[in-house]
Amino acid sequence: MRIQRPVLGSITLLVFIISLLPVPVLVWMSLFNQSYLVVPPVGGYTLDWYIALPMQTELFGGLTYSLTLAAWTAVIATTLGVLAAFGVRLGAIKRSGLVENLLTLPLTVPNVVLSMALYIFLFRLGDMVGISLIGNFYSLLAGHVLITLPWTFRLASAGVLGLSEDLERASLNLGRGRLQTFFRVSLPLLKPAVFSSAMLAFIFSFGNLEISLFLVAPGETTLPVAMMQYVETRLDPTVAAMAVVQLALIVVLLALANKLFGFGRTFTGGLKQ
Amino acid sequence: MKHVTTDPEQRSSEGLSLRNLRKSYDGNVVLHDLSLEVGRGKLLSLLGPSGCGKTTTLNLIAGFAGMTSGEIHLGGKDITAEAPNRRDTAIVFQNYALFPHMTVIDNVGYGLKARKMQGKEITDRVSKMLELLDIGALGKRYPGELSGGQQQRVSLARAIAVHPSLLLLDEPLSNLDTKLRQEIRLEIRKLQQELEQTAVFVTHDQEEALVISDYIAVLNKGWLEQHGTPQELWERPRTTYVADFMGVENILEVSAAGGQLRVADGGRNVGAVVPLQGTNKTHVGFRPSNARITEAGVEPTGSALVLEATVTGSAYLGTSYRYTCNVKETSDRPVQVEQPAGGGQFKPGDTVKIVVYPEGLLPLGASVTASDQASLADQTA
Repeated sequence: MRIQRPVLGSITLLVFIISLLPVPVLVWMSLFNQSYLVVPPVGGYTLDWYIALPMQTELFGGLTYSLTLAAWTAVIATTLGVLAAFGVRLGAIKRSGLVENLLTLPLTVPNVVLSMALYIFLFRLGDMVGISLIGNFYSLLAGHVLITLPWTFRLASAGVLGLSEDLERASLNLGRGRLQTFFRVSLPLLKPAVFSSAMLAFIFSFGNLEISLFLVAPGETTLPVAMMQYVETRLDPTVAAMAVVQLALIVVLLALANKLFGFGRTFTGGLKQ
Repeated sequence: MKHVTTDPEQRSSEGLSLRNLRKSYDGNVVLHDLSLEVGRGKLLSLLGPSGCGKTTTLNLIAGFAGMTSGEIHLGGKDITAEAPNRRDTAIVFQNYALFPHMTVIDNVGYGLKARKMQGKEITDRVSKMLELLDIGALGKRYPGELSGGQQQRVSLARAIAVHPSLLLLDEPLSNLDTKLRQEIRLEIRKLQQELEQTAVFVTHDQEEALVISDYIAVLNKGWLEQHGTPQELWERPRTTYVADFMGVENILEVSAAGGQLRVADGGRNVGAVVPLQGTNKTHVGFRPSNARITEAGVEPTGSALVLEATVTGSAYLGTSYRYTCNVKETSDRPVQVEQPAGGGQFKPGDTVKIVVYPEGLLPLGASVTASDQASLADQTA
């Protein structure tokens, strides 16, 4: 069936509106001059919620904690993803697709189920070895790496596939060892793929609620968890204002990444040949 | 291309020696105990169609693939177990494989940096190489900004810059158009001779191999069919396979009896005395230009192979006519004959005699296959 151009255009526009609608609504609500959320606003508009944000130590503590967590997640998940992509290409079992599928498997499990399983696993394991493995930064980080690895692996794989093996052979042939070849030829050519997977891992980790809910350390909290805890007791535009700040942060990061490395080139490996 | 003086530093007097190279994948043998010698400063071509084992051989020499058995010696050293980066070979790849994120200067200097040369030395060597290959103006460009011919030159410069013990060329001309291909192959040959660079050149193009080589090794399904100088291969191909590659378009099955070669089942063909070399010749071949075509009634003078035939087509080639003829009761392949223009002319349908004198006839053995390795052993012994 062939869809007429104007029809297709309207559907696309509708999808865009629906998926992006929460953004202006969020910004709008963050400006309500009232301490509870009803639409339409009764008290007019104000920037007070933004001005008061720095006083919300709970939320801001969550922000720094989340940024640290997301940064580490991005670094580790990307490193592992790139190594896995190279490993799969080198490996004898590359034709079977087994490793690829195993590495993407976590995507098919709902996050809540995965988080609970991870919690129980770490709890039991900690019991067995006599050290508590839950409620610390490292187990939280491990959880975040677990859910972002499928994405970094997929992106890195696309990059590695676009990498001509002859280039690495040329480097070996000219006298560079495997390690030198990796750092001087393979990695520079994978730069776009590496940075977009790091960016993706960062954003996924930054916005993740489920894993953090189960594994967050007592006394510490990520931004999404802090925000959830906040709205459990109060429902004022503070959370909306915080979300706008969070959104702005991600938009800036994405724009930066796009300008520096270009997401569009990722899938061709950025090669110019 | 400018003249260059070679520096014979650290070059051994010995070239490349391949000893019983065997490669098999999952029990499938793709290279059958290949043994070849390439003298220092000589160029050997590995010639054959795709799947003949020539690229496999190149990869084994470069160390990109492990061999099942055999030994490789280069410059008097056994490099069989060396890692690819310690073999002192340099490859010109079919797709050039230039590093896209580096300038031409950095590409050409890549192998020099790997060899821990000093900055000044590298700069000097690189500019010398760029000049040598007439690409001095391209130094600051990236590979993506170069034409195919220019990339080819950069690739060549990068390889010879390291003064390798062995230069490997993997069908380096196949991505260029005809004119450029003919131009660059002469340049490669000139450069290789001036530098006295030992080289192995992989190609499927017979003409290319003849023009560029000191020696040619013809490969067929992983077997070495014949090995020799271009002249030897052209003038004395040993098997039907090699003959076919060397422009011997007419190949007939024959039987040898009483010192004469006869076309098999050819009741109407007149015998000819052909010097027999070896006992395993089962075919005879001749080039279109080595046959004469005459009217049916004319008898040849002296001993010759005479075939009665019917002309089925003719083509004017400027200096000659080329006739396609059907020879009765012989091969299913029509016989091609080339005749200088100016003599008599024949039309399709004419009954003629094709006469080939002994000096134009090439006795050929059957092509080498797995089943008759014994005969190959005889030949090479």
